[in-house]
Amino acid sequence: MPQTVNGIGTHYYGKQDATRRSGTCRHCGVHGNLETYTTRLWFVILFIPIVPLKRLRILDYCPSCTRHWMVNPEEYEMSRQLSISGAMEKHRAEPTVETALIAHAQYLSFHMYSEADTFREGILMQFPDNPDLLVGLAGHLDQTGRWMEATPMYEQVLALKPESTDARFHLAWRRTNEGKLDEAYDLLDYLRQRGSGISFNLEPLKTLAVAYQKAGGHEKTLELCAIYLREHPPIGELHEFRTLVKKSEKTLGLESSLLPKQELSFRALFDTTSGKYSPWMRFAAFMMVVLVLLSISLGALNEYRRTHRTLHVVSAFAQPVQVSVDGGPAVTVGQRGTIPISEGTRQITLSGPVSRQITATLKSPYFSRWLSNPIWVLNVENLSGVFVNKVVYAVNPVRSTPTWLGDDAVSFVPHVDYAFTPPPGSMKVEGQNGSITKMYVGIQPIQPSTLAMQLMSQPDQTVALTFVEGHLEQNPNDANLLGSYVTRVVGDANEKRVSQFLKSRLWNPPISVAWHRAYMGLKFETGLDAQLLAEYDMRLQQTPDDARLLYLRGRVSPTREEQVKYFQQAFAKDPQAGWSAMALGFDAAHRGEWREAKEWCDKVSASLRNDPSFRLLRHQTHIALGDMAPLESEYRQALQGHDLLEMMTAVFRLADLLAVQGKNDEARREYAQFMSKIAPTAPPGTGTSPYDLVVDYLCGDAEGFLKKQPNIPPTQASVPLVCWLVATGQPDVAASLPQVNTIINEWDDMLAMSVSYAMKGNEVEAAAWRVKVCEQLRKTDAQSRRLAELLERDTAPATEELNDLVLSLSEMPLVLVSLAQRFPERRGDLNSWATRLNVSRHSPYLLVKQVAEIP
Amino acid sequence: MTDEEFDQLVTRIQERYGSRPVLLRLRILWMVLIGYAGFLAGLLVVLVIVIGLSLGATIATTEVGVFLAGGVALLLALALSQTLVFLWVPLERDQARTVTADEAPNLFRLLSILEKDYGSRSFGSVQITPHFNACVQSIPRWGVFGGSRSHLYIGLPLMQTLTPDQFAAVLAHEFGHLSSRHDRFSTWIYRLRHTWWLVFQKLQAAHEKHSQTRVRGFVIRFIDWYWPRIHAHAFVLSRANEYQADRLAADWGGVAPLAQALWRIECFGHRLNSDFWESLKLLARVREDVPDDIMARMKAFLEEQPTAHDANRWIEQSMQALTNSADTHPSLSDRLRALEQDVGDMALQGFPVPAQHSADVALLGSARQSITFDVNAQWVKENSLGWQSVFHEARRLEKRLESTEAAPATSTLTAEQQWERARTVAQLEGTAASEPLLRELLMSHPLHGPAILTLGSHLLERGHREGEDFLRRILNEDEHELIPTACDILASHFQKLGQSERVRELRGIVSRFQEAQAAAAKERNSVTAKDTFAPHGLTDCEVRELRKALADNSTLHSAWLVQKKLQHFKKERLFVLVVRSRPSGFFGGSRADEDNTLPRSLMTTITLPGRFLIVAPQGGFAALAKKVMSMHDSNVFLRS
Repeated sequence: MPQTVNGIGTHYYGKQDATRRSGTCRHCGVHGNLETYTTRLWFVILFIPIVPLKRLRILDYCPSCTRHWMVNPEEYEMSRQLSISGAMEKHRAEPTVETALIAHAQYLSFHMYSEADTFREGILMQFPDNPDLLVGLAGHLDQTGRWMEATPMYEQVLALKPESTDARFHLAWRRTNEGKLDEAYDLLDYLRQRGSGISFNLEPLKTLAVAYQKAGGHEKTLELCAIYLREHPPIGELHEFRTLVKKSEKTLGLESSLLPKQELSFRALFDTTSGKYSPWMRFAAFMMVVLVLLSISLGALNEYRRTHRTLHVVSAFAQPVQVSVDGGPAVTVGQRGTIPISEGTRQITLSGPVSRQITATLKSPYFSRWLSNPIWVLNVENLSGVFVNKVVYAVNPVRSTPTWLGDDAVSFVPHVDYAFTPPPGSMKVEGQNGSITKMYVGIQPIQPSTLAMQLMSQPDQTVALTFVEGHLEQNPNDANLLGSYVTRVVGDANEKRVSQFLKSRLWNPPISVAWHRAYMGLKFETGLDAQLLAEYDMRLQQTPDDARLLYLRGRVSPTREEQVKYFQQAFAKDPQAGWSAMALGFDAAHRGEWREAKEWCDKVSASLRNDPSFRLLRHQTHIALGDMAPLESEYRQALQGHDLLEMMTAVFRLADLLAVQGKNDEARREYAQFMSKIAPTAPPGTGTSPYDLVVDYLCGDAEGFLKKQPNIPPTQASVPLVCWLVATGQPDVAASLPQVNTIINEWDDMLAMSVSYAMKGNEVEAAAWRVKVCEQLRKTDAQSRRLAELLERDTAPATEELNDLVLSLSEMPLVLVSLAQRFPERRGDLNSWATRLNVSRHSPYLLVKQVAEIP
Repeated sequence: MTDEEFDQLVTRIQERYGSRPVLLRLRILWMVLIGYAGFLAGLLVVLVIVIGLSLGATIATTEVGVFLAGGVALLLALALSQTLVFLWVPLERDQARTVTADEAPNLFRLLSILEKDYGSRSFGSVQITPHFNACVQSIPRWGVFGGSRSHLYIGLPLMQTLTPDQFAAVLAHEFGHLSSRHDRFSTWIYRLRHTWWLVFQKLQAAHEKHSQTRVRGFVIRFIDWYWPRIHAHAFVLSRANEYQADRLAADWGGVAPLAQALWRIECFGHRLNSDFWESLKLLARVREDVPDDIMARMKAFLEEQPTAHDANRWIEQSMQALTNSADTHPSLSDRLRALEQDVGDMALQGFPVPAQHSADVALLGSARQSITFDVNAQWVKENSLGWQSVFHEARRLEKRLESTEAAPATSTLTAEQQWERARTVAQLEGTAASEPLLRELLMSHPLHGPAILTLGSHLLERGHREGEDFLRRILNEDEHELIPTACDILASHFQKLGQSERVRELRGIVSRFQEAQAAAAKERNSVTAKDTFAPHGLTDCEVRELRKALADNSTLHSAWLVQKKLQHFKKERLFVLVVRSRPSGFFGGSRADEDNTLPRSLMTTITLPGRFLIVAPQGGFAALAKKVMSMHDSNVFLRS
């Protein structure tokens, strides 16, 4: 078949030797004039013939559907001539009816209709009134669609040979079509005789029965059907025949049927050729099978999915966790891993950094298993920040807020498209308003130090210590983590554990300065400085140029002078190391030499820029020097990060900077924005939370605090509340708070209480608290003991003695104002010193400020 | 595969494996495995796809998984429904009169003894039929995948003609096929072949009746290839099994009863086929109601002594018939020889008579009458429509005969009319009645093929050697299209007479003829310039006729004629006629359009003694025309 697309392709052009015949198309079944001709196939462009491809003989071209046969014209012509001439020669040699019919059929089969007509006329004259010839010729004419010409021939045959069943058959068919049913009935008398089914085709009986039924002759229909059934019993099984019979029987109201009882045959239901059932019944049977198999398939798929689930194990521990399900073999999981699991109630055993036995019921709704992809998440100790986020891809996507997974031991997420795998940045959506929604489960990265701070605040610190120790094994220079580890440990057993842990790895090469600093910070260990001093001296003899050892040796030196000497040596040996520069910066800051402090800060290497001590020094130095712009920008940038601790540090330091500049409103706004970001679903605050009190403190809003104070329940005791109480001259209220011992447990807090009492004029309580301070100080290192001596002494300390103290930048002003309260003769210079150091708005800023301003 | 090809295949297998039974069994086992593989191949493909889809469903995303599960369901539904339709071929056992142990205790006692002695399982049922034979029918339970239930069919006429011990020998032979003493492999193949035969028969019938889907068409093609081959191999094995079953039967009840039974069955079979059933057909042509005493008629017929001529003819046929490949049962002579019996000794006893104390009396006892009544009724039921079809056809033939006889006297009738009359008489009254008409026709037209075949076949049936002479007339005519039919009739005749050499000779003639016929058809289907041509070879008269016809066509200017050199059936010649119209223009160029229309216009006007191809010098036949025109003396016409 030629084909063209937009005028390009193949096409027939030309028509030779054309003949037409009336016939039924074998492709579409439409009756029409079928044409046969010789043509040429061309390659065409815009239907213009360009390249001739081949000559073809087109056979029986149907004007209705345009389908046809194609043959090579030469081969067709050769076949035509040889076949026809062969048949004609045979007829000439043996002029019988049989050979005449063969020759006639050859003419017709090669579409030589006029020649066939001529030949037919000749043989009809040669064999006049021969019934066999007439029947044969009429049959040929029937096959070529020339029924009108064939009819007289059949009639002639019937006249010549009334018993001719061929003539009766064809004439009955014609009479049936003409509506002359009784004539057809008479013509088919031979089919009504018993045994006719053995010799003849019984279809005319059915055709006539149908015609009778249409004409309302139901009795005749049933009579003919009964004959058909008698002669060919299997017809009684066919749906078409049964429908025919039933219709007439129903019309006549017959109670009994001539049809045999039909037995159910599954085979026939699925056999398209059986004819026993109607197409819709076969379709329904097939669909039933499909449905049954589909149910089985879906059931099997459901069960497969139920028994092949995935448990995602997420751990924030640095140590691998062993997970065992139902007593099975333990699977080792690092930060994240998956374990195949079946739905149901499962006993999950965790071992490694933690030991837990979890009974979890994993169950998803039955019908959701086909279209949902649920996961179960085991968040070990709930330390990892696992969230579920709906990601919407659209032209104008709506940003959704992640939901944190709950505190369940095993959390269920009903459907996840991307489990711990970041979803693609973009997806193609249909249309302007189309959208695609995907569910994503991920982990919010949290610094171990942040988690450690939270964990260490819990009563049982076992897990926290394990967690920290694991991470310290991997990152021994994490000063934040070391800080939390050392400063927040509570309880003798835990303190001993911390001490042993730090000591055991103290000299692991390369020596970690942060580790040593943390170890030195163990306040509950007595005599550490002397031990360390001896150790450092010994090692310095072996490696006298080791800047780290020199720095650390400086830190345990008993006098400031010696300290500074070692720090300077260390800096000289390795200016890049940074620790010594930072120590010298602190020394300058202690003295209120902020410019010198800044110079040392600038010399601190990049590796120490994130050290919390350095950052505090830099923060205070910049405030003292009024150079706040660079820090403000850094803090705002840090607020865009993900680490909660870092962000909290940044927001409070930013608020501090803004408060120093008198931008209290902006400070409060920044804080509010931050809080809404980290807890968007939290109810509106009352402004009495510890964090709110911190911001109030930074802004120096004493009036605001006093208004809020009645609304703060005693159970909500916190460090910021205590800071406010001491700053507003209410130390007795602070001392009466429940659990105050857990809040005021450091010597500087106690000293603040003492200062507050003294400010109020209650010297007795002030002295009592000062005694507590000294007791606390004497428990720790030499520096602290020296401070205790100065605080207990009845004479005012000399400036050199105070210079020798190594204290934090928040502790020193408090010590100075305390001394100023006791020794009025030194109040001027001590308060002046304290004021120089009291630059940050953080506690004890307000207390120190008030005391220092007292003339 | 044609019968001829099947015969050759059986012969080849017999020659190759006849003396190597182990190899034959291995070969059959291999063929059986191929058969199962063929059946299972389609299912395996579907199963592989289903497994693939199922695995895909388990690892795919949720929605795709459901979609794939749907695909699995649909594919399995299609596969299962097609498998169900294809392999679950419902087969029903033949309808007959069931006989029970209560009715015929003696018969069942005998069957029980045989079951015990042969160690075979019992039959599903025992049926009495109106046929002159005994057989076992195995109805498959699981299509071609095995499992069957066997039913014993006993012909009442057989019981009426055999003595109890002879009949027991026949039953023993049937039991032999199913016996555990028969080797298991042979039994399995015997059943399998029978089962597959039934299934394939059904499948073939369905294939011929309906158009098949492509998949089922593929399976049908596989069966077309496979069935004749497994059948041929199993056929050779089954024939060996027949001998073995005979041997087992002889061991069980003695050689003599079995030999006697075989002899009687063979002789009575020839007699029934030759006379009884023919006479019944003639009765059907004149009597409308079906006789309800067929058993009595048959018994009475067999009790009458045949004429000496007929008796000798049937004895001769029984003695001399050769084993053929249409039946797994060997010929009587071969079977008796295998039992170390001489068929000549049997012949000396003369034509047998039915047993005085017959097996039906002994084994059916008092139930004999009711069974006979039921068997008669069963026969009436089975043959009623056929009988009346014959009766009504006879009435139509009578009318035709009346109109034929109303025509002029025979001497003025054409050969066609004479043949029509003779044929009608043969159909109506039997070939014997038409014999004078056929002889009269052959007097005037000695080479009338259909008449020769009818008369020759009839004469040979009656034992007249003259029939052979008639059929030889066709064989003596080279290239006669009825040679294969005549050979088949003669071969069948010589087969009965045990003349194997002549059978082989005739088969060779048929084979050579069919090859030549195919080659002749092929070389007459096309003419190209590569063919070899010869001068036309027409007589002067024929040339004159041709020139006259050519001259009548005013467009024609010149013509060249040759004949193609043919290798086969040279009497049927093939001519090539090249025609050219008048030259046109100053330079005398050809007119392509006119040249190309000339062949069609000349096709119906010229006459040549053979088929012919008319071509123009231009167009697709230019090379052929050029070759013809260049041949010496090929120019037969040139308009002056």
